[in-house]
Amino acid sequence: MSYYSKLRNTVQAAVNDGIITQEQAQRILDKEHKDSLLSRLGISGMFSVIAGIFIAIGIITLISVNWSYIPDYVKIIGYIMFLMLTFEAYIRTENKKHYNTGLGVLLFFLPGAGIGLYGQIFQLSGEPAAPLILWGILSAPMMFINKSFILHRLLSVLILAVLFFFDGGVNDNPLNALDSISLLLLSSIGLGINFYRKDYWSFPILMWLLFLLIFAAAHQAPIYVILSAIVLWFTFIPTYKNILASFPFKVFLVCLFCLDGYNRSFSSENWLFGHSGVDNIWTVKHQITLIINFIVAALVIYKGKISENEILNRYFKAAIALAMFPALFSNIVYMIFHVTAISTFVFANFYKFDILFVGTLLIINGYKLNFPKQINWGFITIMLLAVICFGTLFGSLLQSGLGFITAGIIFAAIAHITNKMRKQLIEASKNEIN
Amino acid sequence: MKSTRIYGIFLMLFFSAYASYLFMNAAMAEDEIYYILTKPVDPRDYLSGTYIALNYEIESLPSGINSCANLPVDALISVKLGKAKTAQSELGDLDIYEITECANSIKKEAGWVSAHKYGKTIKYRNINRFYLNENDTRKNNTSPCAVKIKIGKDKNPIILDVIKLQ
Repeated sequence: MSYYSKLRNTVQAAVNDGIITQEQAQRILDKEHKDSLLSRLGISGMFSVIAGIFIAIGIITLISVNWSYIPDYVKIIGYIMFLMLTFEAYIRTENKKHYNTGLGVLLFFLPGAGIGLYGQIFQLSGEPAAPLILWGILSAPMMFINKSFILHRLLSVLILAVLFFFDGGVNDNPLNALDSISLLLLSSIGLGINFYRKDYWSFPILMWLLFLLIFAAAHQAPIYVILSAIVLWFTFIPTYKNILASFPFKVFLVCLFCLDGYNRSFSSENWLFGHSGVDNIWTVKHQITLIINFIVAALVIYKGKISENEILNRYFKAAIALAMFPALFSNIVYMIFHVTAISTFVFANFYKFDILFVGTLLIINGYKLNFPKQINWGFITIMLLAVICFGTLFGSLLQSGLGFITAGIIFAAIAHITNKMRKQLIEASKNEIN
Repeated sequence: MKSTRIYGIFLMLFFSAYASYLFMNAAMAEDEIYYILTKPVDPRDYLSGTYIALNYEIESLPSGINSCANLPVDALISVKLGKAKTAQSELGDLDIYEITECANSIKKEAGWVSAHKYGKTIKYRNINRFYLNENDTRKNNTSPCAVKIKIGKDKNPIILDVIKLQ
């Protein structure tokens, strides 16, 4: 039973018992429906953000063409002034939650922008992970200052980015002594923040980081798999049931989207296996990790951690089975047969159909059961897929400022239309049930 | 509010101090200019923009130099640059420098530059990238170039320019 249906039953029971009037009951239901479901940051918010980012990149690209004519000291003073003004604006908007959170997010990114700017002005190069680590350390205090979980998640994503791109890979292990200490420091700060905020969502990522540090020298596939299993075990310890209730689903989706990331990272000659023997091992290693993730997620779902309704459970199981298919089967094909460009392409893109499948079923299920949260998830899932497909098809056109601005305007239009559709669907679902 | 202000002031001081240090390091660099051969490629960086990645031929351990043969596998070292040959560039003839000596410590004397010994290679520190403006024609250049450097006060090389060779 959905949250809204439960609430309606409770309110109706209250009317029957004479606690509240029918009119009051209707007003409670209308308010809850409007406040908690329609006005949340959903697909339109997400697409507006994407549109904003694209337009911003476009403007930045246009400015960057003339960037070298601005004296260095003007750039540095301008940056520091902007930093201070943002802080001042942040302090002054403390009572306006949305502005405050937005400025908090901006403050999270500003140290990264400053490091990038200095790298450019002073021609700093060297270890590519170092600026990201420094950025993480400088931005970490924001987690204590701002109560929004968005910032906490952003730091987690930043750490994940460092992990994903700089954990050794096929090249020399970049974790030299200095960076290891910095990473350890950063992960310690992250862990401290986690415990302070009682948000265990990013805990597994930080655990992964620590384990990688310990086993950095080894970098063997089995260790990777074991680490993933340990990380997921920590993730699913059912201490905080409310937080973790929908976690397997999120893990599952993240895994699917990561699969795209893996494929893109090693797409020199074909989409799945990369271009050399070393890359093959690397990619297979990641796929094994994914399979383990899927199995653990499936087990958790099977045990009934998501208990909103049984139909949804069945969808998840089917989707997980489908998602495992290309990763598992393509490895067998690779081991036995010669991989052709076509088969590789099919396997590499199979997960897209899976995402489409999950998203569509979520929307249908949400509509039938009047569960708007599922409709929102379905829309988010499909629209993220649309962004990936857009990047695949038109990514080569995003080479100029005008290209980015055009893409931003397209995303803004999609955001508007999709949000309208989503709201209509939720309203229609509500009316049908009523 | 107080902690936000303290954090803001800390960040401002950090970026001011960091900029001052980098300006000072460049201002107090040794006077002599060195040119080192390189072959660039052109990736992009999401933090700092467009740059060309610089690969150095002499990053493989120089043979025939005794002091370079007995270095640890992974260590911070110093290398001495000496004139090796001349190369024609669009700016005229350039004196090209190569490694003539190695030391298993940071040498403060003029002409020595710090580097990182890694396996069988010597990697120069801080001169692996050269950031360019978006419309700079060198952005897509992959032909051999010479990197113009100075040695900073901290003994790391400071990249000044990348010059196309003919």
